[in-house]
Amino acid sequence: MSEELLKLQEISKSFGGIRALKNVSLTISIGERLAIIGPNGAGKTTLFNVINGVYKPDTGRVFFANVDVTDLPAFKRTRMGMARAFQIPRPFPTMSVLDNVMVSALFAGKFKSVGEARERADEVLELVGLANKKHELAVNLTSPEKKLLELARALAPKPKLLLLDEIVAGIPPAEVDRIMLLVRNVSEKENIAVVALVEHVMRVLKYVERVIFLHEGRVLMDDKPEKVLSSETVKNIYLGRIYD
Amino acid sequence: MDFKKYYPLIPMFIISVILLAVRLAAPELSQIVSLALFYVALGEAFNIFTGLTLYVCFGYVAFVALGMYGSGLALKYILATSNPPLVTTILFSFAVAGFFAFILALVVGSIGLRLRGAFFAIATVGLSEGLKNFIEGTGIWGGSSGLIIAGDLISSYGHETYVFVSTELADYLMFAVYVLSLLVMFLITKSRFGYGLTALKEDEDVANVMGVNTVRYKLMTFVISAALAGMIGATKMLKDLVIYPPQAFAISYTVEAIVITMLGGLGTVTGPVIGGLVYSILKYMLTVSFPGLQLLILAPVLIAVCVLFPYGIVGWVKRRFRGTLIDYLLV
Repeated sequence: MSEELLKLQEISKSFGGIRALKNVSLTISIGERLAIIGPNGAGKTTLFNVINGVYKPDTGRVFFANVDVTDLPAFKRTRMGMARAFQIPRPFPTMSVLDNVMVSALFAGKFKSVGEARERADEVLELVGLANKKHELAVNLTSPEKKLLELARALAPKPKLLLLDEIVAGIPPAEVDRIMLLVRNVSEKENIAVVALVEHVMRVLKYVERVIFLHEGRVLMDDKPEKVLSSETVKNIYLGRIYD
Repeated sequence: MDFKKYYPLIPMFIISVILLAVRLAAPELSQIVSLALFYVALGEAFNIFTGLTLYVCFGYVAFVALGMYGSGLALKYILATSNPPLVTTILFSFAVAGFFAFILALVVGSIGLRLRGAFFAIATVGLSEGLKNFIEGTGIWGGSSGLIIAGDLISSYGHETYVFVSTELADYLMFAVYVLSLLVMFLITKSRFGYGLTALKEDEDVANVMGVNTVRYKLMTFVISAALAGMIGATKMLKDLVIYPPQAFAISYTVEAIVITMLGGLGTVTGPVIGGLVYSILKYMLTVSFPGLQLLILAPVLIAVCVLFPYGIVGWVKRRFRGTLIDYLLV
């Protein structure tokens, strides 16, 4: 049994009358890669916001690396090793690509000197394939490049848990494979757990070991990818009959 | 040790040496040089807060004025109680000046810097006016009749030293404060602190999520900037030897500090130096050739510069020569 990294215990969260999450419990192990799927409005992004501290759950606890982090603000969880790549990239626009990644390494990671942070940033930019753009201003990048920068910023602090919010949405299919392959390689090399939120599961299927199906704020299935995708419920609610 | 990152200090060193050399070699130009030194120092101190965070304090002159009062009071106090050497007196008055401004910034900043951007600017508008009215109304520190230190200096050190202090020493002290501000600004931009501030300036929310303690960082630059402004005030006190509330708290100093940093390049290290030089020379020449009209002519000139060079002179040059040696050396 591998060691657990993140544990959600009976999480519920409501917005007014809408119950976005209903008693969600799940455990993620160190180095594990999984996808959370579900239709629009299933509660995927709310779940992420509860995990990284943007929202506090109404009930339930969040444990990260055996510490109860339910009451910790986002930036403290970031410093503990949670990294999140946002669905809509929000780079520091008039800073260079390199500086963008350096800020993350300096403040979210354990790189306390500018020199060390620059080395780390160079390393990560090489990894995601943005090394030739490192002196460009972030505002001048194309949309797929901004996604890569978002990924680089998330990886720079050497996180233990990487939360990818629709990292492949709006990316050309050929690039999706490159990005997902890269994520898998880093995850294997540095033992990073990866949670990917995706609406189109087929695009990332072969890169994950586990799929959680979220529907109307509940975990309906939590199993190996092929099992989840062959289940009747998932076909009915989410995939539609064309995958038969 | 990576010495390369200190190469941008070379052009700054050259500019500073030229300034100092002109002051030493051409006493007939001393009036314009001391004007330039004051504006360059003021611009750089102002830049440390506003250039690095993009927050504007409209009551900024209060720190200069409080520095003047702090040094004046310290000088009066120390000369009344003992008869120390000149160096001790000056060092003591500078320390008190910096401390006065520091405390004011700490109080104003800890409350005000929880506000965002424009709201902070609005909150600080009343700062200098409020302090001025307080001093005039309560009559403390000489009230509206001002604080005069000329007599104290003459009786303690004699007439010759007194003349030397206000005509020579004050200029060199201003030069020292200018060099200090320049170095502080340069070291901040090259440090982890500086990266956090740049992130904060670009997007305060994202910076916070990335682990930057934004409120503390804003406060730190504010108190550093204020303490330097206080020391500029101390030097100005030695130069003028007298302080009256309406002149000390004149809003024009705040406006001039904004203009100088905008003109030179907000947030750049060398910007206020270039901006301060251009501004003081322009102001001096206009005062000589069109007395009384200088502000009227200066305003459109400055508006034009700000429209044509929104990133300031240094910012424009850096963009024009992006990626070249000039971009690298001109920080």
